[in-house]
Amino acid sequence: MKTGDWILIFAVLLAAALLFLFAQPFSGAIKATVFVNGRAVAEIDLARVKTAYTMEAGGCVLQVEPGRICFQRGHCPDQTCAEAGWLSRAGQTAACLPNRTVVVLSGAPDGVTGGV
Amino acid sequence: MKKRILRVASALALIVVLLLWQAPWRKTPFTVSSVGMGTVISLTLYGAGEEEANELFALFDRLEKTTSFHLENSALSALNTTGETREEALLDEARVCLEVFEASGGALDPTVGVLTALWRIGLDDARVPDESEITAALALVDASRMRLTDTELTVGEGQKADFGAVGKGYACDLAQAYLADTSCRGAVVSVGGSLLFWGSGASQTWTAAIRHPFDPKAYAGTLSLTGGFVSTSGDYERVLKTDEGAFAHILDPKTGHPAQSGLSSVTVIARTGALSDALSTACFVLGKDKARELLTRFDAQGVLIAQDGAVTLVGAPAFTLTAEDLLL
Repeated sequence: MKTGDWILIFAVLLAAALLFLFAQPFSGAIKATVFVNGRAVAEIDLARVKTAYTMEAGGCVLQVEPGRICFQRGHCPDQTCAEAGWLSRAGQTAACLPNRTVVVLSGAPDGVTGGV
Repeated sequence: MKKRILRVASALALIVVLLLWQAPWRKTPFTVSSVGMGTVISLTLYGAGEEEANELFALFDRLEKTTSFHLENSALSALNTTGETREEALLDEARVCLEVFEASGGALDPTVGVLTALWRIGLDDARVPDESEITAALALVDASRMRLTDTELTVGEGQKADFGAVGKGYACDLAQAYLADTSCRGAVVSVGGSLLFWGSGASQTWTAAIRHPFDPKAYAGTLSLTGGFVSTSGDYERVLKTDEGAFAHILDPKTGHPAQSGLSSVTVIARTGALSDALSTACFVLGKDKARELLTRFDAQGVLIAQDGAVTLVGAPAFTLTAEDLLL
């Protein structure tokens, strides 16, 4: 075999390896994104949370714990957001409509692209 | 030698194209969520970004200001005061509502507004009305008294139109029309209980999760589809809880009370968003057997979940049941 053939084989193998890596579905940790008025104001990798804390967003107070997040009760006229409880699975959403604040959990490799 | 170099160069060019085609940034969508039309709106856009998302949110905002039943200065409120309108969005919504009104024998009635105004479910001042109030209101619920032409819609004396049953689905229709004129190549638009799956995203197939009607944190199952409109109506959204019991927001135009058909959730796949939304409401009111007839008539597909956990599929949707306590 000539040098060119070796280059070709090497290039094809390299491409195959890269394609395999790139084609893998996203399998990252579960991420909570907090939106206020349609703007992302915080992104939290819930798996990396070691100690519980609270944060303010859009007039709401969010409780963050290892692996989960929720709206704290008593910070808006409508308590629907707090009633949603703890969010810990990708695809879960909770919202405080009066404060126009939404928390969305993403990052699951299950391929779900929308929910009703 | 030149041929070999050419061959190697061609192979490398092909590899570059393949890598770009498969590159993660092509598969990573722009995602954003916000509040609008009294619900949560989420956008997942492939090949588009913040600019298109902002345009969509502005579009939904205009639609809410036009079609809201509860906003005093909306075009719908003007219709309910003056008895007539030429507003295009209201004409569009009325057209779909009246089509389903006829086909469902009145299970969906867009003149249900007098009842909506009595119960006010979903608002802070929601209440259970007296029977005398409901009886008086029922006399005004009859969509056959509505008149719709290509340019004008009128309602009968004292009637109140409420197109809430199609509003979120219609928003998905407008979103699709907007996205078709942009660089966007695929999108999921979620407006409350209505979804649009359009174009292609990370793959050619989309997966919609249907919420478990008895467990807000679980899925009942998943729907696989290549695109289209999906709407769900359920008895778990916007519930008035009183000492007398819990009252879901979907009103039966025949009784004036929240619908009690034995169904807990209805998911419909149809050719437009407004139609999927209208059909899901009508089917929820009708119950399983009549819902099946209605969906078949519109060539729509459905997933019906009864209050006893029985799941019925209509029109063979690609549905996978995942909840262990439901029975297909």
